[in-house]
Amino acid sequence: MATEITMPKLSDTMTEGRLVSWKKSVGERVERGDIIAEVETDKANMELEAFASGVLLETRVKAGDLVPVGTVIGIIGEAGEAVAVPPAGAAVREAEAAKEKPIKEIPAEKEKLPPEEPKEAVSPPVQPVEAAEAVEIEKASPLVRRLAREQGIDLKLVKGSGPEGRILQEDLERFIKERESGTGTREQEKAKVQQPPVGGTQPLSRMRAAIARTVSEAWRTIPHFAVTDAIEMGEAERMRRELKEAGTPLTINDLIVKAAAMALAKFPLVNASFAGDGILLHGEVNIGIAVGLEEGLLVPVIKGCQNLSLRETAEKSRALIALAQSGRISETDIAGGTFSISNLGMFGVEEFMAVILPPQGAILAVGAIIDQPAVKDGRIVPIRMMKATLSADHRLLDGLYAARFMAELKRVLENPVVMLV
Amino acid sequence: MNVIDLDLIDFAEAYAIQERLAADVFAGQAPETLLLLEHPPVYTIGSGGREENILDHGVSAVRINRGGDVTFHGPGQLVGYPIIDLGRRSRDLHRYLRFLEEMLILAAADYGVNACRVAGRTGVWTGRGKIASIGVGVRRWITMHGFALNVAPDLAGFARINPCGMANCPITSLSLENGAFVPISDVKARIGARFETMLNAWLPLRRDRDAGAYGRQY
Repeated sequence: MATEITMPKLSDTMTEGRLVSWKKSVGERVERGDIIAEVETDKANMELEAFASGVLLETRVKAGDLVPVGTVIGIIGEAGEAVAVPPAGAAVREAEAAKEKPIKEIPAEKEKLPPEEPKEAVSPPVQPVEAAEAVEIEKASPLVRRLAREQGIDLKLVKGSGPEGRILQEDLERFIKERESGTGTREQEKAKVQQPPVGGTQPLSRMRAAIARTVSEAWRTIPHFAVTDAIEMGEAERMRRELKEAGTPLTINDLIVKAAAMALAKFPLVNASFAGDGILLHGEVNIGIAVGLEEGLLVPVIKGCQNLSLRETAEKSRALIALAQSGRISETDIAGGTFSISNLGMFGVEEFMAVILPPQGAILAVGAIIDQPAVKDGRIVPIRMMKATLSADHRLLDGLYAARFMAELKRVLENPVVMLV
Repeated sequence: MNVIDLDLIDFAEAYAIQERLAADVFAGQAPETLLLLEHPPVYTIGSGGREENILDHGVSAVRINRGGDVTFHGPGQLVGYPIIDLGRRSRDLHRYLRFLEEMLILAAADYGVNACRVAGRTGVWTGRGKIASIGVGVRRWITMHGFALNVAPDLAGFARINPCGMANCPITSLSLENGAFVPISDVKARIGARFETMLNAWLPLRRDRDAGAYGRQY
C-alpha cells in the first residue's frame, strides 16, 4: 500500500510550506522514522520523518517549491507498486522507479483494485487506464478520507480543488456547508447523511479548534474587566455622509478604528502586552478587526494605524475584510495585532463584552447606533447613541485608566473633525 | 529546565552539544536546556540559503539545518540555542518563533530599546535595523539553533554578507541603540532568568507528547 507524504501543518497559522530538500532520492529504501525531507515555514525548518517503510517511489515537489499544507509531496510504497495520481508524464518516471520489476506486473496490481464503472470496450493504452483507476481511490489524503467516512460522505460527490483534482479538507468542509445550507445538494445524498444526534459530539473544524484554544487561553490567563461608555455618533455619521458624497467612502467602523488609533497613542497601556515580569508597550498601533464568518471568526490586522489617515485606514480595512471573507487572507494579515475591535452594531446588538485576544491587552466591543431621547437646553431631542465596551487586562491597567481611554475615544468620535487633521 | 552558559565557543563544538542534547531531550534523558554563548567569527547559512549572499570568503561559512538564509556570528553577539520539546508544547512552530521574538523584544526593552516585529520578516527590528536574528531547526519536534541578539558586536562582520538574504539589510545592536556599552553578561543573566517563565506562559508544558509525529494533522 502506497503512503502519501504530505506537507505537514507545523503551526496553526501555517498555510503553506517550502520543501527545502529531499534527504532520500527516488528508488531509495526508506525506514519508518528516517528523515526523508526538510521543510521550512517562516524561519523554522522541520526535518520530515517517514511514517512508513518502503521505497521512495516518487517526489512530486522539488526543492525550493512552496506548496499548500496537505499537498502530497511524495509517495512511499513497495518497489514496483503502481503510484496513484501520476501528474502528467509521471507514468514514465514511475516506470523508471519500478524498473527492477517487470512492467508486466502492473496489470496484476490493477486486478486487485475494486471494480469501477464499466469501461469502454476498446481499452486505451495501459498506463492511462492505470492512472484513471488510481485517481478514483487516491484523490484525497487519509485525513480527508477519514473525515468523509465520519460524516458519511461519498467522496465521489465532492469536487476537488487541489492539484489534479485532489480533494482537500477545505473542499470537504465546503461540501458539508453547502449540504447543510441545502445548496448544491443531491436529495439522495442528503437522506443518507445523518446529523449527529442532539447531545452527540460534532468534530471541531480547524478554525473552531483554533478559536477554542485562543479564547480558553485568554479566559484562563487574562483577568478581564470591562468598561462601557455611551458615545453620541450624530456628528460622526454626518461627517461620514459628507465624506462619502465627496468621494471618500468609509464605514462607521473605519471611524471607530481611526478614533481608537488616536486614543491608543495617548494611552499606551491599552496598546500593550503583559509579559510575566514586564509590560510591553507596542511602538506600533496594529488594530485587528473581528470579521464574523459562517464557520467562525477571523481578525485581520490593520498595521501601523498610528501613521494612517482616515482614508488610508478605510482602504486597508476594506481590502482586509474582503480577503477575510473570501478565505484568501494570508497569515501575515492576521498576525501582529496590538489591539482589536469587534463590532456587532450592524446586527443590532446594543452592547456586549468581547474576549481579549492574547497576547494583546484590550479589545473594544462596539454596539449599534440607536435613536435615543436626550435633554438638551431644556428640550427633549433625539440623539444617535452608540455603546462601546472596552475589555482590558487588569494586570496592565486599572479602571481609571480605562475610563480615561474611553473618554478620549468618546471625545474624538463626538468631535470627528479631529480625525481629519 | 537548564540554562547553561558556554561562554565563547566554536560553532562546530556548540553544534555537537546541541545535537547530543536534542537526542537526549527527545529520549527523555535530559531536561530542556537553553544554551547561551558567543561564537568566534563565523557565517552560517540556513538550509534554504544561498552561498552568493556571503560576499566575504575570508571567514569560515557553515551550512546548517535551520531556517533562514545567511547570518554572521561573532563576539559581542549573544547567541541562544534553546533545546525545547515542542512535542509537549503545542507543536506550533510559528508560535515558537513569535515567542522568541517577544522574549528578545523584552530583552531590548530592558535597555530602553524599542524593538518590534516586522510582519513577514522573522527577527527583531528597531527603527535603525535588525537587532536580533532568528533561525530554528526542528527534529522530532525538538528545537535546535535559535536566536542571535546583537549586544555589542563588531558590526563589520555583517557588512560582508547580505544578512537574511536581503541586500543592504541594516544591522544594529543594543549598545548602538542604547548609546552606552551594554555588557553581554548582563543581558545573558536577564534572558537566562526570564526564559523559562515566558516559555511556559507562551507554550505551556503538557504532560505527554502528542500521539502522531506531526500533531493535529494526523
